[in-house]
Amino acid sequence: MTSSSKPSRSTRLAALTGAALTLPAIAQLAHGNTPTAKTEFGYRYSQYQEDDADKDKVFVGSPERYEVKNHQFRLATPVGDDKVLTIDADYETVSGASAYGTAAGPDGKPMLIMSGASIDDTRKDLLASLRTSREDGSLTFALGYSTEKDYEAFNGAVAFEKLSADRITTWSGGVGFSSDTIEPVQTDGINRIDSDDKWSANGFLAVAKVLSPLWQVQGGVFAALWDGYLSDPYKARDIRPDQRQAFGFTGRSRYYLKSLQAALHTDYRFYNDDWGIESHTLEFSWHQSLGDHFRIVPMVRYYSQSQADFYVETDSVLNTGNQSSDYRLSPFGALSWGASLILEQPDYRITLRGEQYESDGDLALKNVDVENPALVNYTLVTVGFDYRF
Amino acid sequence: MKYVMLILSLTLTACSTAPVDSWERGDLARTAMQWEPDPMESAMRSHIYNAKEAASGGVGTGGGGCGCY
Repeated sequence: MTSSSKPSRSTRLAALTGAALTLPAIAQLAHGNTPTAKTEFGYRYSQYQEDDADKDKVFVGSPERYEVKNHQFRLATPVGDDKVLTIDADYETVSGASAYGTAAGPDGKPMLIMSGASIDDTRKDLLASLRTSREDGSLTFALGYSTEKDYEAFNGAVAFEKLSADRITTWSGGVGFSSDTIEPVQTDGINRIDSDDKWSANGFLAVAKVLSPLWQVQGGVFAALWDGYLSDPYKARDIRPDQRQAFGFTGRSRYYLKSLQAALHTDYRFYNDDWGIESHTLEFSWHQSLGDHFRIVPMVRYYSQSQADFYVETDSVLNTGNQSSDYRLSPFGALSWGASLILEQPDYRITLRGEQYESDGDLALKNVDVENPALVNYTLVTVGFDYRF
Repeated sequence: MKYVMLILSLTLTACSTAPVDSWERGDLARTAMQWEPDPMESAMRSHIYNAKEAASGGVGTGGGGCGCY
């Protein structure tokens, strides 16, 4: 993403933190595309809007934050008797402002230095996967490419599923790789790198088990490694280690309440990395059937993380060594809630969904003395349809 | 690696159960009972969470490229 005027665009580094650091290809594989005799086409339009920053916490710059308009396309079509080719494409526009850095305010607490509301960028993402199914499992290969004005990424992955003879237990796993390059947009008077890159690799192994005709569970472990330029070139002062290793585990449950015609989903994830960040994520969703064709799905999600070892509350030239005031590396908790309304027919499906996300230092599992002023609240609204032919 | 084996072993041990015949699996096959009932929704949500939070990864999360707003 780029900005068209000073003080330049700001952050958006996730490329260099945890965000882009997941490997999209391998992630997509885990979603699974069950073999289909028909071609399926899906489209989603999502509008993402962040609340303005609290003006009392903005030292200089615009309080406006990001607005994102995202178009998702998916085409899944059978190839021969045992293969499914899936193409996923994203087109996304981003505008708004983000935190350039933090400085101590009159009371000593950190205040935001925001970029001008001048960021304007597009992201295009393409991912192709080929899944070969057999009686006792499947094997999937995927390749992906993503580009923005200042960012380019290539990724690939391979994943498998293996069912036991009694089809009670399913093992699944995969590995992936990504190679990313960033070429920051330059701004007069600010010294930024010209170009740099990083690579990342990750893998997961999971086992799922059918416990009863109404209940199945899954446990999994995952690990990831990032190496290269992991700092944020759009921050005032951001120096991060050039390597990061993460480990985590997940647990999921799907339970069907026959008398209520509803399914309860429970998802938990533990994450830990060598930057000192530890997090817990817990989500519940309730999939309630309404007659033969409608389904309503309320959800609630809780997230909490500790801070990175090198996180600083305010930027200062007096700081030495690794340092970052990025709110994504700060301690906080977040609560999100929302609901989907789905109309399902044999040949098509229509989806309407809304979600509200709020983050706060007080929501963290452990006490947070000084909250980062850039913590974000946002609203996400999605409409979409799927068609089989 | 020892954590991997421990976690997966506990999962398997705790979940030992009698076989479920194929004719009993109608409810398990429902869309609402899938790990990811809507992969496009899951991909979009994971993409945003990954851009706003330090943690990422797992089984069934995703995003694409940077997109780090």
